[in-house]
Amino acid sequence: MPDVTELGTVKVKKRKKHTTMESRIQRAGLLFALPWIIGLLSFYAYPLFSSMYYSFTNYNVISPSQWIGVENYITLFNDNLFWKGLKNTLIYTLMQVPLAICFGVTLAMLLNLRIWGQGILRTIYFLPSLLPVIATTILWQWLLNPQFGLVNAFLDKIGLTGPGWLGDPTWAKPSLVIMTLWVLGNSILIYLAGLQDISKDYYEAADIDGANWFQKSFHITLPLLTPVIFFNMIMGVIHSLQEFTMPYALTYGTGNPAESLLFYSMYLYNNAFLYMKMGYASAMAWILFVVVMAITVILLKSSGKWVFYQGDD
Amino acid sequence: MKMGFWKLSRLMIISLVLLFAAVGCTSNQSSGEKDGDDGSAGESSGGEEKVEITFWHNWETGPSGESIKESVAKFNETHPNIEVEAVYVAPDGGDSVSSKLVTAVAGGNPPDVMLASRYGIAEYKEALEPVGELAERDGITEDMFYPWAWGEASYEGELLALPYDGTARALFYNKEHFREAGLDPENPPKTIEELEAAAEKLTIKEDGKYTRFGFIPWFGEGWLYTWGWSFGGEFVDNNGVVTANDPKIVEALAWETDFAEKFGIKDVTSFVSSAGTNATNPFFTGQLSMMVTGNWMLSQIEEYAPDLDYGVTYIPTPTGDNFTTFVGGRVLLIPKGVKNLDASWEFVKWMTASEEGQSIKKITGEFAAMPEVNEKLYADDPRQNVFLEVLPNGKHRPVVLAGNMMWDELAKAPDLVMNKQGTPQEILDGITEKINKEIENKKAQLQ
Repeated sequence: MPDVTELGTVKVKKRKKHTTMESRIQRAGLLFALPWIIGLLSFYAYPLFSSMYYSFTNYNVISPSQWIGVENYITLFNDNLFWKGLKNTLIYTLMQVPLAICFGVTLAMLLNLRIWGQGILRTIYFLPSLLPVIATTILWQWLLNPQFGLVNAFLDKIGLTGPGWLGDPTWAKPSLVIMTLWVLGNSILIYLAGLQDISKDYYEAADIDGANWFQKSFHITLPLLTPVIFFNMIMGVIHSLQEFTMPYALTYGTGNPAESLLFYSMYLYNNAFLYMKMGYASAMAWILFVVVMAITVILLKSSGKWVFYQGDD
Repeated sequence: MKMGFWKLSRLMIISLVLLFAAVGCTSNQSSGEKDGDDGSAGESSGGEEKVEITFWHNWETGPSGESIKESVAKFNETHPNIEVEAVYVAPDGGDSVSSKLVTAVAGGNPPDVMLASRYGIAEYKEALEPVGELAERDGITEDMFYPWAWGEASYEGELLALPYDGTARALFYNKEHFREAGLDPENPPKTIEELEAAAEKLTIKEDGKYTRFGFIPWFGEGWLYTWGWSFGGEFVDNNGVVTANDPKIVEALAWETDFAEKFGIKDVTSFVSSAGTNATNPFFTGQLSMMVTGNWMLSQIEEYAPDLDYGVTYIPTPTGDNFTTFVGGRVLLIPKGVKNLDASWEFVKWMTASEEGQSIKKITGEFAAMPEVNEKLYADDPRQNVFLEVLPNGKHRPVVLAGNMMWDELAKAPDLVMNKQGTPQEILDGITEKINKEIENKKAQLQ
């Protein structure tokens, strides 16, 4: 009996010491993280929630704001340029994201082949991602120049008449998509990591069964790459719904030609900082948030059908 | 050992927390002290102590940057008790720095003086210290400046800032091309009809491809404002109501787009979107024979195409008289809540309303806001003659509460018409309605 109690107390003591240690570590961790927590709250949470408040007000940054209820939202739904911006942005996303995935996966698979110069090639394909967006934009503006551009000169040589690219309302958005497909370095890097992650066992088993390269690609590589594709798809959608820098630099905020490059976030920026309608712009930002959220949720829901994880049955 | 480690880590945490607390305190304290200082500094600015003020500008390089440096150096030299520090702030796009100003004012830490595009200041007038009373006190009056300068710096009779300079537009033409095409280089087109005829003669098409355009109305500085005024239109009436659908402006827009249609909209737009800037400006490279552009182009031609044989003439009008020009330019403004209003005002006054300060504009080749100064600066420069002649008759964009939106909308108008989004009348009716509604909303907000 005494032995047992002694044992018990020892156990209790041990546990007590354990919990205090744990809580101490926890406290220390919290204290260390405190500067970042404070930063996060004051520089992210506060602006986030105040922008929600301002979206229900008349706010021009300088004067005190007035509560106007949902008027901003109602005006927005009757605003021609709001719809145009939304439409342009969605069309662009619909073109850009699937193409970026196709190109990214293809390039990553090619760069994953064990061939001579693999490292050099990977570096070359990553290099454009190191360029500032503005530099990329100006470079492509010259390449796509309808009269003197290299792209149209090449098309001319093979007997085709190139379009007006950025000067033509129908070709302006595709031109932008082409520009973004040139800077896929970051997503290629993620795809490459995903490819390396696929267990060799599958390929060995397929080899034994006599599968060829195509069969291996379509039945092993691609299905097992879907988690990475899914990740890049979500990031791509979020990114292209917020596309701002390229069209802004190209058109100085006007969205020319014929408002075909008027992107949602550009109109948002103009409202906030040029037209002094910060409340209106805040409302736009929250609508964009809802749109991004909705699309992400839909993609997430659909992912069960086409995303396969290794080791899953 | 273990205890030692824990003691150490606890000590570290405590010291870290203290450190942060200390930093927080000192920054609080110093800002508090600053606030306290403001009042007393304002009172003692007349004393012997040197007052330091910050001057925000967006001109760092080239002749404009030089003019800022020289102005500040000269002011500091002649004003021993004020020290101006020029600080470059990058523009948001074009010439606008309003977003930076507005955030600085809202944050309670504005610069003392800022150089800003004159156009659009009414939209953020709550961020400005109106200078009307100070100007009146120091005898600075409307008649010292061009009407466009003073007019564009005031909103409903209230002077918001002092006008600093002016930029004007005219028709530049290539004399060599004129001789080639059998036109008289000393007798450039004066009417719209003559302009069209000359443009047709100057245009060269080889194998179905244009190698040279005589003229493209909206290229360069051929904004709808430029042509609207040249056609005799007015963009705003006496009550501040926008009239962008003035029949004369509709006519101007229709003329611009008809012009494009004559040469093929696709060819013209692809030429415009291909056009280079600076050294590759199509006017310099001989791909374009005539263009409407601003007086700043004079120094660019000197730099990039010194051998170009060119002339400068009035922007043609339908009748061949009543020449006018679209004048833009900058103001020097004082943000609301500055610490040293007197010192700021002193600098603004010297820059904008003194011959010494205004003369420095010569470096940039742009115009002073004071007619008197320009006459002295450019008396011996014949290239500036046309500009100087039309300047007193120059027009400024309307000062309304939705000026920036109006600019954007009007800038898009030719593009929309050419891409068949509507007729000139429809597009301009739409813009007029939109801008007037916007102005009404903003006015209601201010009350």
